[in-house]
Amino acid sequence: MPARNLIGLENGGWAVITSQLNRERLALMNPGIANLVYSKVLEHVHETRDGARLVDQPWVQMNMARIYAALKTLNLACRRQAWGIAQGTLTAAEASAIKILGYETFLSVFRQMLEVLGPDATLRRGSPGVPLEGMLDVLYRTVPVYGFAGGTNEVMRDMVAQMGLGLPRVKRA
Amino acid sequence: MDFGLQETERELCDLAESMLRDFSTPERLLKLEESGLRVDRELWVALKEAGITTIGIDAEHGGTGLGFGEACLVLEQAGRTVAAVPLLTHGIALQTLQRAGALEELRRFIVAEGWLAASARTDRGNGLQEASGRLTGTVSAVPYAPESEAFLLPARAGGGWNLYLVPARQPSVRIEGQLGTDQSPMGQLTLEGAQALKLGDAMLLGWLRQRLIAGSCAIQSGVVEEAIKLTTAYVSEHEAFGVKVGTFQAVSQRMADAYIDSMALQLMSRHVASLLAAQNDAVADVMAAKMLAGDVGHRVLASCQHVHGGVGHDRGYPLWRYAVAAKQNELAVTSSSEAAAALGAVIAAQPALVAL
Ligand SMILES: Cc1cc2nc3c(=O)[nH]c(=O)nc-3n(C[C@H](O)[C@H](O)[C@H](O)COP(=O)(O)OP(=O)(O)OC[C@H]3O[C@@H](n4cnc5c(N)ncnc54)[C@H](O)[C@@H]3O)c2cc1C
Repeated sequence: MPARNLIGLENGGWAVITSQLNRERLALMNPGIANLVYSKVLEHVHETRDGARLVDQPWVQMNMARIYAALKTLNLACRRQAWGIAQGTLTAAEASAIKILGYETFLSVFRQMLEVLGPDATLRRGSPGVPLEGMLDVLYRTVPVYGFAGGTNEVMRDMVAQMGLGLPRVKRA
Repeated sequence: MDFGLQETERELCDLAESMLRDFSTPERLLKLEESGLRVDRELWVALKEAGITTIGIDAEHGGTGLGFGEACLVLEQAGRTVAAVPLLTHGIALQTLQRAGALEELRRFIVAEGWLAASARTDRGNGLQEASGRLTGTVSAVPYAPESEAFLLPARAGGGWNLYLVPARQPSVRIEGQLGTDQSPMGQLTLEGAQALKLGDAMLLGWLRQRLIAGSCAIQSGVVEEAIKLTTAYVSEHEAFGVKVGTFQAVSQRMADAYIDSMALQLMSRHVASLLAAQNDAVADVMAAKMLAGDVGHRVLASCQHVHGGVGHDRGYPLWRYAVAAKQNELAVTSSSEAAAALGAVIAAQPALVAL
């Protein structure tokens, strides 16, 4: 290997791996599964049981509003980045940004969905009476991994600050 | 889906930005603020001559043509420059006249020297009541009401709300000047049987409200973008004990979050602008955008002021104007929490509108 452990240029492998990482970050934050669970929670809150619907409670409406607004934003941001890939213009700063936006969005929307489902929300998959086949229990436990996997979010923020905003570069020990 | 700006849109942004920036220097803004009426009449005339004030009005009625999307791109530039002009209320009031088919009034106000004020409030701050075609009562905090030509105002009529055009210069209208936190002129209006033209009912009022909200989101997007630009430049140069402030991870991470917030707001704001350009009603996404505009304005300006230290509050340095502009926009028409409640009501009543 040596040749002083070349990273940039020669046959351009570094650019290939970094652009692959940009795409991976977008792929990790794909909102498809969150959209699916959202649609199920939306149905759930509209179901009438004992003459009442969850969605008629003000706090449930607030949670659902915040969930919708956050997911709508993430959906748009992901489409914007897919468009950027198609145009060949996606930057490392944008790809890092989507990873942080996606992680923060998932972290908060899954929590708010769990609240809406109430005390049954923490039942594990396979338990009788588990809502949404236990999907949310699995999802919320997965999300914290994405704060660091695929590049920890502090490093993502460093990249946004340096490449997106042009803040001074710093060598971190 | 195309997320880029077309060539003509880019040119429009450049033209609007350069005009707004040329006039909106800190020295000039300070003078206007000290004059007691933060309106730049010279800039207003220049914008009129360039056709910037009538974007969204069809050419056959004397407007510039183009649509709501373009009008919002111009509003982004107004936000970036914290310009002292009533582009939002005037532009959307004109569009509402066009929508209502009040074409004679539309033509008159396109050529008139001044501007139109508009409010969509139907909370306890609006006590206007219609009786036999005339309006009576008080409404507070109407943006750009002082010295305007006329106001678009909601008033109670029978069981619901209607929208009216009220000429400003009539004996039965009293205007008390109020000052917004961003130092923009606002007015408390007291009407005693004021002459008014009914433009439409609650439908038209909703149409106006959605556009005022979308426009304020566009302005907020510009405010936030420029505040981040100022802050980035500052922390890249400013040093604390020989170390550039922008190299501290606690500072740069906070600014990275501001960048992400700004990216999200621009996307949502342009998204609702393009929806409203194509359809009458986009209430769910308009409310979602307003929630974001309020939250993002609040978070980003707090971060920008914080990492500036004392300079962020120095009246000789431009940032503070962005902080107060962000707060003005955050609370304009409706707040994040109220917008969330409105969106929640839509989710309860019409889940089909919030499919993802
Ligand atoms: C389920 C799972 C699947 C994975 N799959 C893959 C895979 O397919 N391919 C692959 O290559 N890797 C994979 N990983 C590994 C993953 O990429 C690493 O876990 C991740 O990059 C973080 O590295 P680390 O675990 O060594 O944590 P560390 O680097 O030790 O980081 C720990 C924490 O320290 C802080 N920190 C670290 N560096 C900095 C910094 N510069 N500035 C500020 N704070 C900092 C952060 O808070 C960070 O979260 C996977 C991990 C998991 C858990």
